[in-house]
Amino acid sequence: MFKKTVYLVTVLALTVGLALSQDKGKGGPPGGGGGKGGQAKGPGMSLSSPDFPDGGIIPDKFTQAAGPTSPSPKLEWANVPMGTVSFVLIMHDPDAAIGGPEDVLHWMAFNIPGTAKGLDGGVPTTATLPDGTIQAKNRGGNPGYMGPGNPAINPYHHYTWELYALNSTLMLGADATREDVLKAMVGKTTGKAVLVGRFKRPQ
Amino acid sequence: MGKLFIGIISITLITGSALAQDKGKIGGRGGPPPLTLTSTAWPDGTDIPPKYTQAAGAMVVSPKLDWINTPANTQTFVLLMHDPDVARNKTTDDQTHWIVWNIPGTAKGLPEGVPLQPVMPDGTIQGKNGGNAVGYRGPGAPARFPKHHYTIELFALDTKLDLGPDTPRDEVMKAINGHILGKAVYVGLFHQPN
Repeated sequence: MFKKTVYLVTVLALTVGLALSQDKGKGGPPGGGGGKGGQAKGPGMSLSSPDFPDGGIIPDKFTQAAGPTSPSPKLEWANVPMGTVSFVLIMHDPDAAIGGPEDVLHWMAFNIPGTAKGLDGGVPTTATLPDGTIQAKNRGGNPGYMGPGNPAINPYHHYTWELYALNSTLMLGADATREDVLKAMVGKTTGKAVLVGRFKRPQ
Repeated sequence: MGKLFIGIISITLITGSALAQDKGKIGGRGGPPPLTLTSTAWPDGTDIPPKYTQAAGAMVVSPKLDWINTPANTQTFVLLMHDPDVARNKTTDDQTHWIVWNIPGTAKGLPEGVPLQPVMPDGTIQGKNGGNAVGYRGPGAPARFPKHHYTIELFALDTKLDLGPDTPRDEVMKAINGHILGKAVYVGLFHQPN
C-alpha cells in the first residue's frame, strides 16, 4: 500500500515536471515581452516610426536613393520592461545573403540609455554619442546608420529594426562585431521589439 | 599622358570596388533576375489571415508559397519561417515556426497545407518548430502584444543537405554556409484578434 502510494506520487511528480518543462520549451516567450517568457501580463515592448507604417515602404529620403549619407528615420518605443539599463538596436537586411546565413548589417547601436524612449531622426554617424551610446561599423565599414540601397531590379527588401532591452550595459567598444554584441547580450535580454520597412530603389 | 594613366587606373579601381560591393548583395545590378518569394495568402508586409495562424486552432494550414527566378544550378531550397519579435529565455534566439530543407531545386513553391510529416515523398525534410513539433506552426502572438513580424526566408542552395529531420535550426543554418546561391524573403504581421 505504502509502496503503491510512493509509486503513484512519483509518477505524478514526473508527469507534472515533464509537462511543465515541455510548456517552457513550447511557449518559450511567445511574445514581445521577450525574455519575460510570455507570462508577463504587460502589453509587450513596441517599436514604431512616425516616418513609415510597420511593414510599409520606407520613404526615399531615408535611403541611399537620397545619397550615401541619408538620415536615419525617427524611432519610438514604449512599454519598456522594468529594470531596463540599456538598449541594443540592430537594423539589417535579411534579403541579402553574402555567401552565408549572415545578412547585411545596416546599423548597430548599443549602450543606448535605458531611459531613452526612442531615437531622433538623423542620428549622427559617429562611433560614440554624448549619452554613452556606441555605434559599431555597418556593412559599409562606417559607424552608424547606412540607408537601404536595394537596386530597383530586385523585389522589395525587408529592412528589419530589432530593439532589445537589456538589464545591463555591454562592456564592448565601437570595434565590436555583430557576433560580439549578440554573444554579449545572452542572459541580459529582457525584451524585444521589431519594426519592418520595405524598400527598393525607384530606378 | 601620365595623368591619363593614373586616371584609368583610378577608374579601374573604383569600378572594381563598386562591383565587389554589388557582388556582396546577391541579385545586384547586372546579375540574373533575383530569386523572388511571393504568396497569394496575403500581400507582403501586411496582416496574415487567421486561417494560417493559431487563431484557427487545429484547422491551421501553412500558406501557399510561390517563387520565381531560381538561380542556375540550384539543387535544393531551404525555407525558414521565424518570429524575430521573440527573444527566448534572455538570449538572442528567436522563435522558429517552420524549417524545411532538401526541397527539390525544381520546385516552384509549396502548396497550401503542407502535411506535418518529417520526410516527404520528394525528399523534402521538415524539422521541428519552436513548439517541438514537426512542420508548420502558425503565428500565435497574443493580442496584448504589438503585431509580430513573421519572416519567411527562402535560400537556394548548390547542394543537398545530409541532415536528418532531428537536426536543429542552428545546424541547418551552419550547413548552408558557403552553399547559398540566392535568397528571398516575405513578411506577414500578426497578433491574436483578442
